[in-house]
Amino acid sequence: MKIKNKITFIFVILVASMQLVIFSIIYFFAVEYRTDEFFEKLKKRTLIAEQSNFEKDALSVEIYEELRRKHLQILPDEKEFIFNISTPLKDIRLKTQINIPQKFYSDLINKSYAEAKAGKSFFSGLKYKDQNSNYLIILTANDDDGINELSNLRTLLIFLFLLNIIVLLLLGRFFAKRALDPLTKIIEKVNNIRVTNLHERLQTTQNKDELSQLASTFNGMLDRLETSFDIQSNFINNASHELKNPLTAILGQTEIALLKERSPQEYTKVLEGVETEALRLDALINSLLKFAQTENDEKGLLITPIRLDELILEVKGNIDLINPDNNIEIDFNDFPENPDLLVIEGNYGLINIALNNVLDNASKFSDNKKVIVKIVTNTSAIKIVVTDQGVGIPTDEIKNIYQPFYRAANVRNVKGYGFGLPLTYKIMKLHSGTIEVFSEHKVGTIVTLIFPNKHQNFSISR
Amino acid sequence: MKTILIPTDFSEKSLQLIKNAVLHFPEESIQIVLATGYQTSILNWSTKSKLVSIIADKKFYKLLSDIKLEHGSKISNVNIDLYTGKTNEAFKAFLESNNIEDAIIPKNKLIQFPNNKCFDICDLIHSFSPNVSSVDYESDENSPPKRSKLFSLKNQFSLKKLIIIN
Repeated sequence: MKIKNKITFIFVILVASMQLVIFSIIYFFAVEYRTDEFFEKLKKRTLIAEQSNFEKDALSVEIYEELRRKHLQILPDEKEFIFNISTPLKDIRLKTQINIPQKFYSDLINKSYAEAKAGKSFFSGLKYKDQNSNYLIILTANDDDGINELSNLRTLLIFLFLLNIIVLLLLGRFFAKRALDPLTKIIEKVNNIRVTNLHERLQTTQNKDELSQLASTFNGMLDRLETSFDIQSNFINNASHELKNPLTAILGQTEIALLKERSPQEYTKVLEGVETEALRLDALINSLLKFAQTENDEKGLLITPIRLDELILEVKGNIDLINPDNNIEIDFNDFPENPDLLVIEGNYGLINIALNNVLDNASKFSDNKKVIVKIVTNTSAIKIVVTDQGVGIPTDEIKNIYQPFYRAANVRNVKGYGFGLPLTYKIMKLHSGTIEVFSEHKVGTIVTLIFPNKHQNFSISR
Repeated sequence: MKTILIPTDFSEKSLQLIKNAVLHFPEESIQIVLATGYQTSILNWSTKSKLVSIIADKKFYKLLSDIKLEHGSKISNVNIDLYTGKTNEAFKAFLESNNIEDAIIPKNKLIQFPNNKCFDICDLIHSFSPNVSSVDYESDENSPPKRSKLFSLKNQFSLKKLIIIN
């Protein structure tokens, strides 16, 4: 069943049942009221009958009869009976030809006044005490008017009820349709989005309603899809390009070398060239493998406590070996006093790679200008802040820096594969941390590696 | 030590201009004056600081203290000030009283002001401050301008279609 129909259905059922209850109450009270009223009428007539039949004064009897004739209309099927109190119920029934209820009779004997209703007939009875004997005055009549009135009311209520159900059905459908219309449109729109028009987005409004949220959720999903699509297509592109370069160089060198006979020195030179390129290929494929490993090995990592200050010193030592001219300065001024706050949980090898990438980039892209490394902690995070004075990243390219093989336009002349930051990003994600890169083109870059602070409680109580 | 003037609109995003300042002056330690224009006739210093604490929200202060922490030895001090003057001379006096030597301004305008008494002083800085560097800056498009509750409430009741798909 469609939600639209479901909503309409529930709406109709709810309101209709509420109405049913209200209408039933109205009808019930109308019946009660009408019955009471008719009994009241009957009682008055019984009293009048008593007066007219048993009053000694002949004059007043006449007046009563007159009154009765003039002012009180005769009720439908109105009959008046007078019995001696000793008459049994069976005889009364026989004489009146009416099935008088047993309860009415016993009430009448015991309480001197009784009323009852059987079928259409209403009964009202009075026990009259004369000096000599007691009499029972019984009046019976049918309330035809009341029955008519009530049946009119019933028809009216039933008609109103049915009419209301139809109105409710239409209204319910209309509002359900109106409420779900945007949803239908979202469905249509989302159905139309294919690989070719992945850039299209649903329009959202400022309203924080659920549909707007749904639209933004879809948009978020489309954003992620589009990025990952882009990344994938670029990855294959860039990877094949990077892999092809060394191969082209090797092929070119060997082809030229094979054109004619060469001296051993020339062969050695060519082989050396081939070796360089092969080494480049090897390094590239190694980093590709590392990248793939971090992607797959999320669970099989060895997690140990790592002291960040020691790690930084070790990474700096490594970089010193490869690039002795670097100018990496470790700023100990803001190091937290509590050494526990320098400890994070993680995979030593991976974090080493991550930090190595960041520091290597910082000195590589700044021509070995000063790079400042520091560790700061606050209640929620432990951060390694690396500030360099390098070439920076152009603003419009900063969103691409986590894509494998992506290289900003301004660093084409610096050696690299475009692997460092994507790998670091992935490693940080693995350790439930993040990496923040703030950069100004031609001025410098601030890279912040943020690890969650596991000693949170401790540092707060301090 | 250099004193650097940075305009702010009290959005978290605008605090990234401090990072720009850190990058621009790598060698010396800096003192930062965050400032915004504010239309008021009250010039008392203590009311000014009270006003600032009303205008700026907790997230702003949290991020500010984070940035101060991250560049602790670099940034010696961050002052938040309101420029309440109206004339060019008043602005020059404002620069002088704060000993401004440098300024960082965004290329785009600051727009996320918390109320409409605040005004952008980038143009003033551009015209009068010594050594202005303008930097790339994009304000957060996602965070809606504040004080739009009434508007969205109105939206809820309007018969307009809530989502129109382009």
